Amino acid sequence: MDRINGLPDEVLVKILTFLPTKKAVSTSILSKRWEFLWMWLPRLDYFIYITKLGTKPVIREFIEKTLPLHRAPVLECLRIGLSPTFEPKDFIRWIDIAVSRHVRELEISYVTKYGNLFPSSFFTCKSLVVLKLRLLVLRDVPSMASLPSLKTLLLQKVYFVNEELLQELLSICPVLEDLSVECAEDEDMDEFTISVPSLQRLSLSIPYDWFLEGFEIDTPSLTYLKLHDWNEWDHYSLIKNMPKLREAYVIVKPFLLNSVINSITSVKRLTICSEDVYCDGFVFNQLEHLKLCGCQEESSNLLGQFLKDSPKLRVLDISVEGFHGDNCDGMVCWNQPSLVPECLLSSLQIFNWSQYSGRPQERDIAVYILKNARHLKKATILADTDEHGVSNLQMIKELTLSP
Amino acid sequence: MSEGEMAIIKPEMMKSYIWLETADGSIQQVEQEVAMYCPMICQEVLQKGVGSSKNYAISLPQRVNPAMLSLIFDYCRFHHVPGRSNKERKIYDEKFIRMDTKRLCELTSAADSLQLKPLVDLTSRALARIIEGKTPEEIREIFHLPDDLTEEEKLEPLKNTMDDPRIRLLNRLYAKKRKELKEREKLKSVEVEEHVDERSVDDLLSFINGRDHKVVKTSKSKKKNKKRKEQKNGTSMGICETSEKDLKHNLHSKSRNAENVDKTASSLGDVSNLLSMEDDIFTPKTEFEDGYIDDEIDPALKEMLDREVEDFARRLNSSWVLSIGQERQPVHFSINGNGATRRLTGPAAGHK
Repeated sequence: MDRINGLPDEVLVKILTFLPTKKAVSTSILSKRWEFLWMWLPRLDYFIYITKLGTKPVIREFIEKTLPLHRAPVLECLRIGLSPTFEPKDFIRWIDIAVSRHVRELEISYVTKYGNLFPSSFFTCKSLVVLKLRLLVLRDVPSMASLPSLKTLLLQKVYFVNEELLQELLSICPVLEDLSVECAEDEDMDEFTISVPSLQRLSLSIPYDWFLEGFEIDTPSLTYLKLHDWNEWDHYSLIKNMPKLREAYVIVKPFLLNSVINSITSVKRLTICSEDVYCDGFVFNQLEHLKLCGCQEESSNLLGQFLKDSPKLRVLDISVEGFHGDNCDGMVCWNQPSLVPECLLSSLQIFNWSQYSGRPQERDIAVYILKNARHLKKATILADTDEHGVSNLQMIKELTLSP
Repeated sequence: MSEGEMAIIKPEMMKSYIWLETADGSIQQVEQEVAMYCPMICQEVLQKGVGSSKNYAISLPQRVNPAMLSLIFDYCRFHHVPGRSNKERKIYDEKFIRMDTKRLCELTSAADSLQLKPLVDLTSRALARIIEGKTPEEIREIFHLPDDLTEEEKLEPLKNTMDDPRIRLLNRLYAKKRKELKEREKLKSVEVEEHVDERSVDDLLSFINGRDHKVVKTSKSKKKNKKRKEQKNGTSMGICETSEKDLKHNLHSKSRNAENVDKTASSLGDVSNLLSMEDDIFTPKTEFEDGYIDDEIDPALKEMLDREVEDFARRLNSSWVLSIGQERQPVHFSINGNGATRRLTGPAAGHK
């Protein structure tokens, strides 16, 4: 058979799975054979459709018409992202259909603070493995709810009608492994809890202007933590023991720093951006790879502290995190340690510095490390020549000239 | 050499071969490990024991011709070696797949019949890439697809899903569900309307008693316009004249009744008749207000009218529950000049 129409239906549908949904749908006008082939697609991606105000939401009618008639017995993935020009009740129908087709991945983006998007069948969906929700509102979690297969949950700027709802939602996911919560900016919660015994990865982002009292994290199986808490109100953070934690990415305000540091001393890899230094008394016994954001004046002291407290440090990265943009002063006050840190003497092998500015203090730091790291195998210093107008060559000369 | 001798010699050779016969009768032999990479061939060898000699060559499906077979074995010969890196395999695949569309289709067909999934994936991806950038006309041309859909079918691509009886049933059920939901919404908005009416009567009366007529008139007309607009939109949101609690309570009880209505409705047509009737009921009411203001009716009458209105609403709901399915005439509610109410009701109304 040398014609494409000679191929069996399954193969034609397979070809359609490699096309974006929109294109696959358009094949329905090719010929009779192709008219309904797209309706066997296991994955439907209506993401994202922004309907201009005043125009007819064609996509809504399309989904309305075709989703109930979709032929695939199992809908593996349904992604819908629509601009908020229609009523939330549409979603109730669509999610209901998806649940009845044993959906595994569900992704919904829809801006609304009113109305309920979720049918009751959603809260007892046995097949759901991945759930991603953006910008919508969660009104309640029914009492008999359970999402027994849910492993990955993303809540991006989701508005919780009350503070307990977040934990209520989490408590119906017994096998949840990966949680990512980006809190909605203008929907304050005073306090919230994240308590998930099965959780392995957690990413939490808290807006800077919430009137936040504090939060609690209880995730004993956690191996990866990303905490981006730049909230300006003095709040507490109760982070319970995480003995399995291996990697952390921490951006916190000074008043939280010590309590957070306390919880992450067992990590192997750490990326940190902080305005202040943490206090004495912590040891990072297993820290091998440290990435430090050199954005603040105090960063140099933070560096010194880390060097002192991390006897096994193998890789040191100094950089400036992208979100800072151009407003970084860079490290200015370098107090040379009285005792050469253990890691420099015995373990540091790789040293990277991007956005090096060539300023005297930074040069001092670089020189100090280069001089004292006995086992250093590789050092890469990338200069930010545009910013500071010092030529590359000159900086290298300076470094090599120092004793 | 006779075949018998061939059979004896073979086991002593380092390589063993599998014999395959394509639909056109020609017979090929291929190294065993290469051929076994194809699940279909593997199955034939292991389950049926064929392929070890020319006489017992494996018959291949019709979709496999000698040219495609040789291509497929090139593919297998490369990929069955375990030591290759992913990058190597990818580079090979990219080169391998470069062929004209006709051969690509042939290859897909052959690979599919041999159940060689990785190759089917590869060729399918390539075909998808061909489809992706093209207009429907171009696609039809490249793949020689017949342009056999009518213009109407092209514009309304889902009309013909009626062919499948399951789809038809699904469609009907869905349409029914949709209607039900619509009716429920309409009911809600209509009920809210009604409640607004009651309230505005109260307000109006208080205006009459304590304020200017002119003021009354403008505010009333505003309210009327608002009501008209809401009637058009049919939304139940944003009506803030009444207290939230009252509204919700009313809606709740009424929607419960409405649900009963839906459940007991023998045919949806009846329900929609009732609803359009509801609209009729409430438009005369605005006229009622007009007449009311102009007549300057005293407080005693006002109370009686209020009670009438509430009574009517209650009875309307209960009568729906009782008498659904029966033929109903439109019910009109109007008031003549001296304030006495008079109702024109149909035969099965069950009022008074």
